[in-house]
Amino acid sequence: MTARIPTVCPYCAVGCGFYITRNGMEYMQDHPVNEGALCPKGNAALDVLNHVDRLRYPMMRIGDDWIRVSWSEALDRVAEEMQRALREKGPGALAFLGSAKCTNEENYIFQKIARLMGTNSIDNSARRCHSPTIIALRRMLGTPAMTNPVSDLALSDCIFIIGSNLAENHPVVARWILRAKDRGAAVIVADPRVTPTAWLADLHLQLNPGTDIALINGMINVILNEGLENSSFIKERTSGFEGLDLSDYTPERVSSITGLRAGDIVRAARLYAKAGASSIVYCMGITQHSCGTENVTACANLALVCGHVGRPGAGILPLRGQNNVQGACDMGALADFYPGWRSVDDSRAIDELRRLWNARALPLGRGLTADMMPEADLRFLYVMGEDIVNSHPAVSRRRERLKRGFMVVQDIFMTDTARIADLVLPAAAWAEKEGTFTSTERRVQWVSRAREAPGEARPDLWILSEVAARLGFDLSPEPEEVLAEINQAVPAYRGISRSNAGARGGIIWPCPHPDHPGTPVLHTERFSTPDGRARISPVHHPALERTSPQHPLILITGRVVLHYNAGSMSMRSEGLVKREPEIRIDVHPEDAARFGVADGDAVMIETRWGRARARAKLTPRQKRGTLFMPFHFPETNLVASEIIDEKSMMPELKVAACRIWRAD
Amino acid sequence: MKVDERRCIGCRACSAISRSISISEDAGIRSITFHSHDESLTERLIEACPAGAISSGITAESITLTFRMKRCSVCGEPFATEREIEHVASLIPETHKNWLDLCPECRRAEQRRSHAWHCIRIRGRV
Amino acid sequence: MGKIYLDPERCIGCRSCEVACEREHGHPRISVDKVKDLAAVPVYCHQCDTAPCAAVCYTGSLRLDGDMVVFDPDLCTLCGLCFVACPFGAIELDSVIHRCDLCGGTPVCVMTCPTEALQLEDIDAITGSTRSRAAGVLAARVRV
Repeated sequence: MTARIPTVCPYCAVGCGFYITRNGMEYMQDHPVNEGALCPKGNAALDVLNHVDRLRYPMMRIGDDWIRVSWSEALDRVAEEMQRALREKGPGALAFLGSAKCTNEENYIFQKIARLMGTNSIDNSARRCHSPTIIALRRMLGTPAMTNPVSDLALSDCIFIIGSNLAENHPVVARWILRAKDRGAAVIVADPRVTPTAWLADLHLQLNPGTDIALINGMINVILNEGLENSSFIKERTSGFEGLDLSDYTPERVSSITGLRAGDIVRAARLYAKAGASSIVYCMGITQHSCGTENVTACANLALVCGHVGRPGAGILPLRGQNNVQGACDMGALADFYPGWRSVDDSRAIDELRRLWNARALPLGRGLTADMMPEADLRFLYVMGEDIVNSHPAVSRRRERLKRGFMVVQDIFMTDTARIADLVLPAAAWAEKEGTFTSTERRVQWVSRAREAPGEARPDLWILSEVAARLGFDLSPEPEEVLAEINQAVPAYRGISRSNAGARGGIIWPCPHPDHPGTPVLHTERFSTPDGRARISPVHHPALERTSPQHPLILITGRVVLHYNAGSMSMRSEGLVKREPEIRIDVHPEDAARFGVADGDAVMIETRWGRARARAKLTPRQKRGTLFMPFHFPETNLVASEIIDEKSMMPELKVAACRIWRAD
Repeated sequence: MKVDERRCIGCRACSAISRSISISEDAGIRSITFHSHDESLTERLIEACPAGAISSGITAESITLTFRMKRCSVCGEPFATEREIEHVASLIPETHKNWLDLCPECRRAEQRRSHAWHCIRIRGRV
Repeated sequence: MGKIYLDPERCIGCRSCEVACEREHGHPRISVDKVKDLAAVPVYCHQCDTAPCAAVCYTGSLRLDGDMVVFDPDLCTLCGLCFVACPFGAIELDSVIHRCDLCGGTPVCVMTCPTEALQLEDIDAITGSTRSRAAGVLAARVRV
């Protein structure tokens, strides 16, 4: 057995490489994205593998107890219950939650099972992360993904970071931004908080939460007034520019909406437009809003008006969250898309898959998204690798309703979601199986098995193929065979195999044939829309959740560097937990004084959706009038908003009116 | 063994060697108790003492030596005995020794403040 | 051999260096904290030229060797005087002494730092590269 096995970090979507050795890990200094570096979660990644909490045996619930059952009994039961639900109530009674942490092959097979059973009710955590990106960039550019690789940021002359705290949540991305700064690049950060990302800024726009469209429209207004737009790019490569009337968004009006100085808005606009190559980097501060889809649209408009797309150093970079959220979406584990970004409403495109799968018919129309599942009349719910009860506030509040039918959870730990299931299946973790993962920059990397799974835990792909066999579908448990089918089902993955995905740094899609070198920069000659042009679409500043005398502050939720999402992995890492052990709420000292709160006090926070308890941390870096709570802790679900962006079904996680007071 | 309480500086060396020597801290006082013990460790104890306070001989009863601890001038936490601090001060060549008034945690904080002062000035204005 | 140098403009306070150091050594020898929530700085052994820790170490367990401070655990009495003597608070003490020894040549904190804030260099190389980088930035800005 070789001394060290290359792998890709299981945490975020930057896709950092490292080696797993017999006793630990080694850094991979020739990986093109991280060059050997790792953030604290990556450094703690191995804690997950031998953890004492790992699920080892299939278990069935009898009353309040769990009893161990054999794999054959467990798998038979999954198939029986699925078929019974189908028989008694039809495909509308089935729902599936795929995993942004499982491989492409696993997500592909999972959604295939769902669709062969007749339902499009399959979703994944992208819903709560970049669903607005998927909708807006697909419409505007044709491809719902980052346009340039992360390392390209080193070539930018101006980097506009809006709604992203990448220094905490994608630390390796900061490496490339600093390289750009070494060359004199200007960095603009738009964020209501002074975050470690804002530390890197030459200009920090500390705007009011939820006013991003006003800011961007204000910047475009300046750019057009000063003739800084890229007219030839607009003329040759875009459509819809004539519809863009942003004359209302004068610096003065935008200043009053955003709380920014008019001069700073002008400065930001000039820096971005005049630079040789500018990049926009955005994340949850743009997407996790009830106007998330419009926010992404505004970002793309800005880039298109200035022609900063389709060249090295010039692009639109949505930083995705999970190690395989891009892949899970590419594989169609989504209620509104089939594999290869075929819309569930596009019967012609779906027919291609129907023929490939040899199916009689495939369902059309959007299925249930995660937030809709508790309210639906489900008889069967299959959750793979997602702690949905902790990762979605609406589901969190209505978790008991998920159990109306038979619930199967397939995971590596007994998460809070697994705890309410009827049947729990122990899965192998990322380093205990084989397959491909797609990072945020469309980089597909093959991961090889480096450790044995504990007990009887098995790769998700094996479990799914066993379930499929009992349903009468012949679906292979071999990752390479599944990848070969993916080549035919997903055009961008046509030329991807273990060979090129397994090379150092994998391969960036689209990869149309096996000898193709991959496509780091998109849209260099044409966009992937039907007419090859990008679509500029006007959007406007929306009505926002307002504060009131009863709820005079605005709550922003988000992430911190030491933890990851709902915490099923990071909260089991001693090195991470001891450094960030409990939920805190960041409060500006003047707000704290107003409400009689001192640093370190236990406080109650209340929104119109609920209340929770946290420890107050006073910091002048929090914008006055706003508070911040990390959502890695279940308390945050108690207060998070349920307002939704109807286009993408994204919950509003960045703006909720609230109040705080000292807990006794 | 015998311990000379005029020489002892209240460090941790002897209690690390012998289980019959116990060390504790309370309310800013460090106490070291020498119980009657295994004489075979005396050689090692003599060698290990930085202040030459241990010698061979018989001591019939236990004795407890107490030492006032220095409190950090910033956070107030006791972190070393006053005699340890004097001993350290006498051995180090530097003329500026203000940091000896600080506990190690506050020394780290001071190091951070001074290393980052320029960064903070710039970022405070941005 | 070089020493570990920190560029405070690059540190983002992620504490990856701490987590990696702790994983490799059981107890971290580097400690990160924020200053006014506007900067973050790791603190670790400076390998001082006139190391106070070596000056107070009466057994020779901590001593100067070339441009480094080296530690021989077999000679250590756990007296704790080095803990008191370090001006940077870079030595911790429980059942053993915890102090950075550059991991024997390839410090993990340097390898793992996402932003290259920690570098292993000798003093001339580091001042040279810092100067040329700053000059480069100035030149780029002036050109624009």
